[in-house]
Amino acid sequence: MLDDRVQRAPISEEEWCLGQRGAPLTLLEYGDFECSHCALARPVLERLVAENPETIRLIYRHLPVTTIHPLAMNAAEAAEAAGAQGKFWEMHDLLFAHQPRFDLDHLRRLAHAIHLQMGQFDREMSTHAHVPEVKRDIRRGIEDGVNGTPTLFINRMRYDGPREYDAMLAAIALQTA
Amino acid sequence: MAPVPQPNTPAPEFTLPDGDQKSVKLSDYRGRNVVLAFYPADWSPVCTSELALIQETLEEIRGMNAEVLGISVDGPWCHRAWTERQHLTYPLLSDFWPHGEVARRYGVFRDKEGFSERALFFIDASGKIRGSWVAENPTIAPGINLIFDALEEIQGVRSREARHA
Repeated sequence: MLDDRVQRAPISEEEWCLGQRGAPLTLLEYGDFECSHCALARPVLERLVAENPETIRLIYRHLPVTTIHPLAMNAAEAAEAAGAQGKFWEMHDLLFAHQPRFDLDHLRRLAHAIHLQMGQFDREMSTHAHVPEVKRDIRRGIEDGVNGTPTLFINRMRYDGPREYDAMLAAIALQTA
Repeated sequence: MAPVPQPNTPAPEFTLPDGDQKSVKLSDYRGRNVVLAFYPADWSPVCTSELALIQETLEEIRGMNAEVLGISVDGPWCHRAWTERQHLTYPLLSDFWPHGEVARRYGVFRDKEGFSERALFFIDASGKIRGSWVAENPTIAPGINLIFDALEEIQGVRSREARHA
């Protein structure tokens, strides 16, 4: 039986998590830093976590759709490079605020703005050191049944509804009822 | 309109022009699996997202001895412009005239709107339908896993449970 509604790839402890790791409700986002819909969803998702710190966590996985967003892979690599220095979410927020200017010069400026160690950042970007992590997320996305960007899951159930705060909060309430 | 063809029945044959006005015949793909992706319209946002995601994973799909054929009622010139804009490298077929005839043969034409459902048909290398998916809501694109799950089943590769074990 073909089914595309339930998220499958297990969420590990190493994944990018906003909020408390042990929160009972998991919002999972597959995002593309060059996607305007993802940029619009970002403040909503972050507000859901900020206003429900005991109950909601956000996990972020990469889904750069490079055929329509040619610089999305660069941006995902930069986010991972920032993550290697403990600043994934800072870079995540900056990328969404500065899309789609993701050529290397702009990415370096963002890295500088969040005080990354630039030697390490440059080395990792030039050797594409973080492509494997991004590709691993894409494979997880195939497994999980992504259908565009962003694809959102609420406790493993795909959420295709409106990406507005009240609508999402209502959907979360239904999931946890 | 014909009913949606059932699994293990021969896939209805068709010949349609692609974006280069070249005739594409379903049976030309015997020996390879085919993912037939009906979608409502070129340029629409959901179709853009769906077809881009297929393009993004095309190498893996082709690695499973499969080709993707997109089908809509748009004309060949429209397909060509959209293909170029979206950097698509798999064929888009034009079911423009007789309007939606192939979609009707597959039971997925929306008479009221004049375009097809969003639907996937999985056809094996012998030309048999092995599975299908028709969107309950055409504004929601299919999860990309549907294509891989169906092809894995056709190819007889290990199940996803085994992959996670």
